[in-house]
Amino acid sequence: MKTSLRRALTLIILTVYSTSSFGSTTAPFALTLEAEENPVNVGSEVKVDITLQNSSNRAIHVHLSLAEVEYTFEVRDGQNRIPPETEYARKAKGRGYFSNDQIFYLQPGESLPKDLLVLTRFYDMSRPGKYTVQVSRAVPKELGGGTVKSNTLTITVVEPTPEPAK
Amino acid sequence: MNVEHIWLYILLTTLGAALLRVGITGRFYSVGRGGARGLVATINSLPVKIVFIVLGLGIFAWLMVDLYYTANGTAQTATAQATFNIAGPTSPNVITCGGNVPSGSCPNGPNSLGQPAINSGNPYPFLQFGGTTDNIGIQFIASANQPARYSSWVFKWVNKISDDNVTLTDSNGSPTISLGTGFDTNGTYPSFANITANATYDNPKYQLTPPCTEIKRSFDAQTFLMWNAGLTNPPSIDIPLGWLTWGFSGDARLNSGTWSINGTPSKYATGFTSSSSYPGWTSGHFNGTSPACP
Repeated sequence: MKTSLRRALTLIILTVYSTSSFGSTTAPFALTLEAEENPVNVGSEVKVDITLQNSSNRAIHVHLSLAEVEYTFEVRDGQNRIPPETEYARKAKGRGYFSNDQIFYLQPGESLPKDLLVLTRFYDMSRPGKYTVQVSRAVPKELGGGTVKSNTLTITVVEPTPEPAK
Repeated sequence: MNVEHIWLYILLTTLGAALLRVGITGRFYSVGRGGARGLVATINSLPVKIVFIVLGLGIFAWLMVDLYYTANGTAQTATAQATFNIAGPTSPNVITCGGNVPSGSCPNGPNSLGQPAINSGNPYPFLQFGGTTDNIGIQFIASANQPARYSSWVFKWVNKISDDNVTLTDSNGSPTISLGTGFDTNGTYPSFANITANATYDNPKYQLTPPCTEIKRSFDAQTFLMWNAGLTNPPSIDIPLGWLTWGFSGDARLNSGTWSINGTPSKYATGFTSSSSYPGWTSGHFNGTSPACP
């Protein structure tokens, strides 16, 4: 009887321990992408907010800096083509950057403050239509490495509605 | 005087003058039949009373018309200043620290700032003030006695960069370039967007890109603690509680393909000054792409 009880307790402890560690296939955080405005008028900035949530079961350190360098992002138009790059994006290639940088200690379930990414700084999205965007972020080696992708967001760019005649 | 109603003044003046003449002379007309007969025998006669009633009404109408239209802003602009006391927080304070402070405390005491260091980056490393969990550049921890009536109050942080210069050295020279002064932003307000906690950090970084072989940075900032009551209808505005200044400098040098700190880097932070002065700026310090090496 005592032996069975001991085995059962050992099994419970092992189960709890295994679920409290990072699994090899579990990402330590999740990314959620939201549009600040959707649809967006032609000529307006297309802004998205990125939320990083600690989806693991232990506290992690995460940097919050410039979204454009912390995240890789992919934009496609309605024909699945990459829109033309802006002059800013072309000039930024191969150059370094400077920014402020904050380090957060996220408890399980906690999120970073929303990080703003202005897509129109990098892509010409002036043509009306649907665009899809997805961001990804590298997982630090100490958290298992790899990449985490966000949901894919569809943003519609529309011609502004003319004001009714007075 | 409102010139738009000059016709009214002329009419009233003409009528008043004509009636005054009748009242004083006692004559409706001076020639023809009855022209020499006075109508006014005493000061209390009917014509005199009519004169003064009409004149009084005219002057009253004049004043009212002038005051009404002028006060509605058709001819003047006015500047008003008001001071509102909303019974905000009292005894605000910010302490700063750095180094090994990952959990939002100051285990090494206030003013224990982090160190400028070389940190790894993709694809190039950074010259950074702090930047790792065991070397936080600067942490700000705010406190204040909060008024009871605002349950949704938040702190906000605004950085004003007073000086941020980099000296970029390669085989073409060593120009010193300003990265901008004024409001420190990644594209939004406040400087640390969406951060409303009582503690926040900053670890400014500059990427070390080829063909530079040496990069020096000198950085000075003024950080304001702002407070918002959290009201929504109408929305409350941010109120300054005070500020402090801080900064660092460091020199990164490339030797045999490896970046390292050259010499002794510096850092400082002053004590918090309680102040209701708003941060003001005419230019921005826009984080983003750094200048190319010469």
